[in-house]
Amino acid sequence: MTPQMIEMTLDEFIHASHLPSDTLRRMIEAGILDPHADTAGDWRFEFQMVFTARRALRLHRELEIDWSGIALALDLLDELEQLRYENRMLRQRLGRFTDG
Amino acid sequence: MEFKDYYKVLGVAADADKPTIKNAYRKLARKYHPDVSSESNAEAQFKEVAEAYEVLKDAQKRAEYDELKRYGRHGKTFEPPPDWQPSSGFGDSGHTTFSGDFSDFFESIFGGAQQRQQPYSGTERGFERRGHDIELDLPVFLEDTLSEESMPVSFEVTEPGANGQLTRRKKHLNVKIPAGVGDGERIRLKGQGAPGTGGGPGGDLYLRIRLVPHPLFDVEGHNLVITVPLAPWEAALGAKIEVPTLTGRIHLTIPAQSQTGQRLRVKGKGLVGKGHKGDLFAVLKVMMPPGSDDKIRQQWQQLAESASFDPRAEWSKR
Repeated sequence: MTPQMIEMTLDEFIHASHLPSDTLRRMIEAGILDPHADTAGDWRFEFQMVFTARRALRLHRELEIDWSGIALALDLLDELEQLRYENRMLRQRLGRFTDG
Repeated sequence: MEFKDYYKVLGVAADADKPTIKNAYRKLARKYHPDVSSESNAEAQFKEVAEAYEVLKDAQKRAEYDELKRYGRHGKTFEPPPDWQPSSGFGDSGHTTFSGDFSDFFESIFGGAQQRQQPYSGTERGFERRGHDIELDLPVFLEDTLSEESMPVSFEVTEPGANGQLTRRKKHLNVKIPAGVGDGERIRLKGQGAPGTGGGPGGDLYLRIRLVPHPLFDVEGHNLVITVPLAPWEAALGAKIEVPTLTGRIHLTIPAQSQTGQRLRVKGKGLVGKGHKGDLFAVLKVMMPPGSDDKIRQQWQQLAESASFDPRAEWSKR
């Protein structure tokens, strides 16, 4: 079984994310999702955006954050995750240097 | 069933007004929301908070809850009164804030999940319904990322059986891990999630790649890093040593006058990148031999007398 790495069309994305179209529009306007246009001018979504959209939706409903606030929060959360990952890797490598 | 004190969960008084309740919820939600929190039990905590808010924000539900609270206080365990009718179902707001499951306690008062709207599952048509997506963590060894072979993946799905009852079934798949996939990346298997009902399509299966930490190699993008211990004389005089890679041992030439922390690049011995192969970096670490006998100590002594090396020369400049 070979996974699909290809991008999703608008229909596929709506199908996979269950987003109502006005919510989708708001997320794109706020820059939470940034699909790109293919050569025919149709939208293409990376499938990882399904998870971004779900996370954004949870934050919107459960923390009552507006869309531009969510865009900022997601950026910062990504950065935080990245820094934590780097920190973990650096600590691990430092450990190999100082132990033994 | 234990009676849940929603006021206590939100840390507000029993006569708190709406803005106070909202404020308390927001503060706790920011603290415990699983998407933003790093607290260890965030998810369970958030569930409690969300459930409490679900009830207390809604005037009708809150009134019902208050009534039960008076009734249920006497005993230690709680059972709804035999004639209890969940009247509101979903209250004045028409939708729930929280998208997860509520506790048994909540459902015994306000009705079960089936009464709730499923706000964002837009693909239902009649009884035809798309299956749920399934998300799994897939631990992958570094060696596996180089292999052409498929990896076995098993998971459980719930599907309606012949009699309409939901049954659990183990599903087994062999999945080809795409070259160049990194830690935390997801891969998507279309239609391989939970089966749909009434002829609806299956949900998707998402596998989140988790690279298993390796005892020797650290990952840096598509490159690998290995720490190479050297004896002081190997660092001083140079050496030819054997170094393990993911695909077997190789010979590596250590130049004379090498330093701790120096990186030597072994081309193409890293992970498979998208389109190119990563490299292996050997980071040198000069190690002192453990305790030495008199003869060795004499030789160090000779070295100390003949070498004019001041490792702290930088300090004396100031």
